Amino acid sequence: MSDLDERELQALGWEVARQLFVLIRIARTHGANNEAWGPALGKVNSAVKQADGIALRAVDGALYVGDVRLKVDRENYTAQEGVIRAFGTHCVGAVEINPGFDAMDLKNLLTTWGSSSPPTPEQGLELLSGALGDGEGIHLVKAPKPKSEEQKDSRHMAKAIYIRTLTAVEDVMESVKINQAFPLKRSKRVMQRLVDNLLADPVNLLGLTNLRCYDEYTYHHSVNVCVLSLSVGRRLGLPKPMLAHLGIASMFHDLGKSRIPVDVLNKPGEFDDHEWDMIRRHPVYGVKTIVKLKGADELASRVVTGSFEHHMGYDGSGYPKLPRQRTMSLYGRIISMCDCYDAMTSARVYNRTPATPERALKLMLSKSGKAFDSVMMKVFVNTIGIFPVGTLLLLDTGEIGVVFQANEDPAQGDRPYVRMITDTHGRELDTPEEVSLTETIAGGKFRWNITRILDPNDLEMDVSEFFL
Amino acid sequence: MPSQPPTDNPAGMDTESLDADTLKAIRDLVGHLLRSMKTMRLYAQTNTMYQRALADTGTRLAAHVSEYGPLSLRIDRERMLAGGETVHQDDDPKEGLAFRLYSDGLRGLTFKSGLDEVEARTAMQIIAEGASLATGEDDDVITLLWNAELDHLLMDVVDDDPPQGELVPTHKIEKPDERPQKLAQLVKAQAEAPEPPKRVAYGADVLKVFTLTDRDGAYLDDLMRREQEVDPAQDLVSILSDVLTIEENPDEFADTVGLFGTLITDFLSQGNLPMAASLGRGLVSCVASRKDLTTAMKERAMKELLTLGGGKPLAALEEGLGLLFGTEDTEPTITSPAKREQTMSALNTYLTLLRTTNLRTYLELASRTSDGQVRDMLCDHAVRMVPESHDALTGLLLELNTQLVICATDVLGRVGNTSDLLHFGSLTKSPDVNVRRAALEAITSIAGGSHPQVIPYLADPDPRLRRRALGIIEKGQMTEAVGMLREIAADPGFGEWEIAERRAVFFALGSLGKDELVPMFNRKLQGVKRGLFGGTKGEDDALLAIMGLKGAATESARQALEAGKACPSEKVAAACSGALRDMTVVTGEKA
Repeated sequence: MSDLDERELQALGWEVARQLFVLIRIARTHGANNEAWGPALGKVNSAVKQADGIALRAVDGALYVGDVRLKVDRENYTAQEGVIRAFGTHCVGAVEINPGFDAMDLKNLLTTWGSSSPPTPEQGLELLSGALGDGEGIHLVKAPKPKSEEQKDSRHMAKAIYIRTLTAVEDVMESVKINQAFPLKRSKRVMQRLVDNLLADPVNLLGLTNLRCYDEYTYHHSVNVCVLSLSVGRRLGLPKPMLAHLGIASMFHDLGKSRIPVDVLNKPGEFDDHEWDMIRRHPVYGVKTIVKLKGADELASRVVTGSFEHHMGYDGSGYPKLPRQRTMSLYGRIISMCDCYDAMTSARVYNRTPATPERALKLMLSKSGKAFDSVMMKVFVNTIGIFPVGTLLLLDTGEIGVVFQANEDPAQGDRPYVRMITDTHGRELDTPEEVSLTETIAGGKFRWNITRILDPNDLEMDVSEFFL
Repeated sequence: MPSQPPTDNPAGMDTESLDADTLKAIRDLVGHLLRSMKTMRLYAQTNTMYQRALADTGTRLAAHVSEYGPLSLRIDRERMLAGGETVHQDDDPKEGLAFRLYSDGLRGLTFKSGLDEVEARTAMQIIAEGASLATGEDDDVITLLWNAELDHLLMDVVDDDPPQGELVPTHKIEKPDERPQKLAQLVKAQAEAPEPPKRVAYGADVLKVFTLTDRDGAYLDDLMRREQEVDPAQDLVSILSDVLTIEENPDEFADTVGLFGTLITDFLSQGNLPMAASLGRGLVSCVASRKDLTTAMKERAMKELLTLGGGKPLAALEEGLGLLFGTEDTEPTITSPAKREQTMSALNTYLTLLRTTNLRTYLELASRTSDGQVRDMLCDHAVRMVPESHDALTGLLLELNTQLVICATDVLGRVGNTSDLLHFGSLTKSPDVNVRRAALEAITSIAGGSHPQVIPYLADPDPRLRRRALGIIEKGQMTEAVGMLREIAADPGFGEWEIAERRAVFFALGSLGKDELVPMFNRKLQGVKRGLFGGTKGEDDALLAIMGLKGAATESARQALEAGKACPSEKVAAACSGALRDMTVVTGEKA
C-alpha cells in the first residue's frame, strides 16, 4: 500500500466496501450481466490503484483497511453491515485486491458470492476460492474462529496479572536497592493471584513468558522465571501453599543483582575477571540481602534457597562453589532450569540474538543429569513442550505457526498447538487461528506436518506479538 | 480456590435481592455461626465444647447451602450483607468479625453449591481463629483460606495493586517491509523444492524419553516429601554457614559474621535459644574449619560470639539452660550447688538478652522447670509483659500443656481483675490437681478472699484443696456455702473422710449456719446421750456435733454443750467441756 494518510485510506476503503456490497447485491438480484457491473468495477479498480492495493478485513464486527479501522457513519452503515454479513456467510476474513487485478476474476468472485447460499461458511469459502481460481490479483483470507468471551477474558486476565507481578517485582527490587525493606506482604497477595490464574489457565500466562524486554530485563526475567517455575510446579501437582513459596522464591532469585553495578550488568562486551567475580557473587549477595532485611522467617528462608541455589548446578558444578556438596532443594532444581531457559531465550545487551526456544531446550537437555536434574528436565520438557511455547514452525502446507501450547500427551509431544500466523503462501494473517497439529484429514493423515523450525530473528520477527 | 479482582459484581457475588425467607435463613445462620465461633474462641481446640461448636458450624453452613443454594456475603467495615441487606452488624466496631475480615482485605465470601461439611468446618475455623492459626509472618485470614484450597469457596479480595500500563515489549520490532517478502520466499522455496520437505518429527523412542516412568514418579514424590519436611530455619543456618565458609574477602567475611550476630541476637530475644545456639555452633565450626583465615578474621568471629550471651559463649549459655530446663533429649538436671549457681547465672544472662515482650515465651520457660525459685523469677518477668488486655493471658489457660496453664494461672492471679474470673470455670474442674490448686489460689488472690467459685472446691477430690477452700470460706464468712457443706455432710462418702476434716466441716457449718443449725447438732448430741448410736460411730457423730456447736458459738449452742457435759460418754463430756472453754459466745464473753 502506498503512503496515504488515514483519511484518504478511509475514503478509499469505504469506496471499495460500498462497491463490493453493491456488486454482491446486484449479483444476487440481477446476475452477472447487469450493466451496473461496469461502473462499479471501475470504481473498485480506481480505488485499488490509488491505494496501491487494498486489503479489506472484517474483525469483531468492524471493517479495516490494513490496520485502519473504517469509521462508520450513517452513509456507510448499510454497506458495512452488508459486507460483514457477506463475509460471515462465506467464512471470509479479508479480501485482498492488488493493483492490476483481473476484473473478470473479481466479477466471477462476486457473482458466485452473491448467488450462492452455502450450507456452511467453510463450504462457502471453498466455492469462492474455486470461482477465483489462480487469480493472483485477488486473494481471500479465511475468517478466524471467533474468540469466545472466555478466551478474550482469560487472555486479558493473564496480561493483567503479568503486569501486576512485574510491578510487584519492581517495587520490591527498588525497595531493596535503597535498603528500605523487603516488603513481601504485597508480593504474597500477587502470588496468590498468579497461582490462581495459572491453575485456571496455564496457557496464556506461559505464552507471555515470550515477552522480552532488555531495557528492563531483570524485572521481566524475574516474572518469566516465576511463571515458568510455577508452571513446572503445577505440573508436579504441588499444593497451593508450596506453589506460593516457589513463586516467591523464583520471583526474587536474582535479588542479589541489586548489589551489582548496572554498568557491569549491562556491559555489552566480555566480563573481566573482577566483573565475573562480582556476577558469580550475586547468589550470595541475595542471601545476605534477604537475611539482613527480612531476618529468618519461613518465607525468607525459601527465598534465600532460591537465590543461593539457582546457579549451583545439580552436580555442584556451578557457583557458588562449596567445599562440601549440598543437596539441591526441589525449588532450587526448578528455578535453575527456568532461569537458564529464560536467560538463553532472551535478547541481552551482549547478545542481541537469543537462542530459539527449541535450541535452548536442546542445550539444556545436553546438560541433563549434570547441571540439571534429569527427571526434573523431563517435567520441564513436558511443561513447555518439545517444541517449546514460542517456537516458530514452518509446516508442509506452507503455513507458519507459533507454538502456544504443548501437547499434554507425551506420545504426541511433537504435535503441539499452534497459532497460524500466515496462510499457505506465507502471507501474514490478521488474526491468527489456533489449531492442533494432531488434526487429521480424510484417510487419517495429519493435516499439518512440521518441516522446519524457524528462527524469528532471521525473519525479524518478535513472537511475543502473538501472545499479547 | 480462586480469588477474584473486585468488580461491581464479582463472579459468584450475588447482589440480586433475596426473598424474605432466604434472607431470614441467612440472618439466622450468620447469627448462629457467630455464636458458635465465639464459643470456639473460649475453649482449647481439644475441648469438646470447641469441637462441638466447630462441627455445628460446618453442618449448618453446608446444610444452608444445600437448601438455599450459594451463599454470598459482602463484607463491609462493620457489617455483612447478603443480597444488599444487612445480615450482621458488629457490636464493637473495632473488635467485630466484619471489621477483622475487612481489615485483612476481604470484601466478599461466596460459599458455592457443593460445599461439604469438611470444607465448611475448615473455613469457619479459619474465620473464627483468624491470625492465631497463622504460621508465617503476615499470614492473614485471606492467606489461610487460600492455603486451605477450598474448592467451593470464592473470595473477593481488595486489589492493592491495580494493573498499570500496557504490556508492550519496549524493543518491539516493527514489521519491516522485507518481512512479507521473506516469508513468501521461505514458503516458495519449500514449495518449489525438488523433493517434498522432510517432516520434523520425533519417533516414539525419542518421545518415550520424555515420558515419566513409575520410577520417576516415585523419585518426584520423594523429592516433594523431603521438601515439605525441610526445616526452613535449619536450612537457612546451613546456607549461612556455607556462605561463611567460602567468604574470602575480609570485609565480606566480617559482614557475614555480623549477620550471624544479628540473627543470633534476634533468636535469643525471641526466646529461641536452640536456633541461636545452632547459629553459634555454625559460626564456631566455620572458623575452626578454615585454615586460611587471618588472625583478624578469626578475632572478629570470636568477638561476635563473646558479645552475645553477655560475655558468655553461647554454648555455655545453652548448657546452663539445658540443665535447668532440660532439652529435647534430656531432663532438667541440677545435681549440686555449683551446678545450680551455673544454671542461675545462665538464666540471668538469658533474661537480660531476652527482649521479647511476648509473655508466652517466659511462661513456656517457666513451665519447663519444677524449681520454684526459677518459676517465680520467670513469672515475675511475665507479669511485667502482660498487656492491658488480658486476652493473651486468658488464652493460655486453654493450652494443653498443664504446666503452662499453671504458670499462666499464677500470673493471672497476680494481675487479674474480677472480670477475668469467668475464665477459671473450666480450670476448677480440671483433672489435674495442680491446675485446680493454681486456679483456687488465683481466684482467691483476684477476689481478695472469698468468691463463689471457691465453694465447689469443698467437694474437691483432693483433701488439701478441700481444707484450703474451707479455710477461705470460713475466713470470708461465706454463708452461701452452708448449703454445699450440708450436702457434703449428708453424703454417704463423707464418712470416709478423715475425722479431723469432718470436724472442720462441721465447725464451718456451725460457724456459718449459726443458730439455724444448732437444733441439728443438738439432736445428734442428744442421740448419743440416749444411746441411740452405738460404738464409736455414735461418739464420732457427737464429736462432730460438738464442733458444729462450737463453731456456732451462740447462746443456744452453749446451752446445748452444757447439757452435753452430762453425757455418759466421758469422751463426749470432756469434748463438750473443752468446747465450752474455747468457745466465745457471740456476746463476746467466754463461756
